[in-house]
Amino acid sequence: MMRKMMHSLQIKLVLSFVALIIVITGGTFLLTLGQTRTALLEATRENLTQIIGMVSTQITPADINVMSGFKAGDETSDSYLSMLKKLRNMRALSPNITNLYVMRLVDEKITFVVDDVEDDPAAIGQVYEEPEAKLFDAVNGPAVSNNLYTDEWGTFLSGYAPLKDTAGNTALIIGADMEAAKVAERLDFIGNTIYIIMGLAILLAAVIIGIFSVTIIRDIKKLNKTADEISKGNTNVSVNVNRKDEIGELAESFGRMVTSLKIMMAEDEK
Amino acid sequence: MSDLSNKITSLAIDYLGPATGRFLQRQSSSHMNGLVFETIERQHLPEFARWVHISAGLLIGNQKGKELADKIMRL
Repeated sequence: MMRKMMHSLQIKLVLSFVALIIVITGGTFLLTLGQTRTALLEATRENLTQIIGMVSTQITPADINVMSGFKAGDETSDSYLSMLKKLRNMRALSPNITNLYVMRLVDEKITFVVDDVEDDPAAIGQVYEEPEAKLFDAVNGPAVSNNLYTDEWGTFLSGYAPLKDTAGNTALIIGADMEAAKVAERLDFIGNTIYIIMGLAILLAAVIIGIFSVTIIRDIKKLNKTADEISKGNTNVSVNVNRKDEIGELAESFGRMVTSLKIMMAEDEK
Repeated sequence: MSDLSNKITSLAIDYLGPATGRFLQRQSSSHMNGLVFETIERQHLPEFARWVHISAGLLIGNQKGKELADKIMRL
């Protein structure tokens, strides 16, 4: 039974078409997913550049002047708390941003000035160990991580912008983090959407191919049955296949042969 | 073989296949007083087409038999 099924033209047709669809859609998936992920990461980076650019314009020269004066132990001062509140208010306006912080570059070392993290914030003067190279680019203008970056606080996509004093010199650097989970969520959304579209395409194609092959096989079976009947001596049969394609032409030729056979057999009987 | 019998055979072969000659010969000789099919003339066509309709209809179905007879009548 199983052996007969595997030799069935219908099974072969459906399997080969489904295999073809899987190969085509799989190839397309692999090609487009990579491209789409890159494009999405690029769009997220651009989004982060705009956010950090906008945030940096909200910090006034007076704020920069105040923050430049912060030293270790000032975390409870009114001016520090006021700056912290300002950062947190700005962060609240950008739901995709997880942390906002201000840093200072001294002797090739990055130290924290204000960190708006609520759990275990960096203290004033705390050195940022192993910062990513992009952070140093922010001295000249807004910069965003090329990819997700992991430090002691977690894995983030980060954006940085210079905070310039009244003389136009970079006094501080402001940073914004977008949590990896949020970036991954966006990337996964694309991946999942492509999976769903692919699944639906395969399902739809399989149904169409199934219907298509069923009608072809049905008519081939009719021809097969007629030939079988004639081969067993029963000429009282007709070819009942109405198609306009190659199968229809085959049925028409077959019908003519059957008719001729009937004529000749009738002649012989007489 | 006359031009008319050739034309009838060409038409009928699409419906009846390789035994067309035998079939047409049979219709003319059996139903038209022993008429030899190769000598058929236009005046014989209405009666010949009527028998083709009846006999072919039994083999290929009434609709197709009528279709063939109508084509013969239009020759």
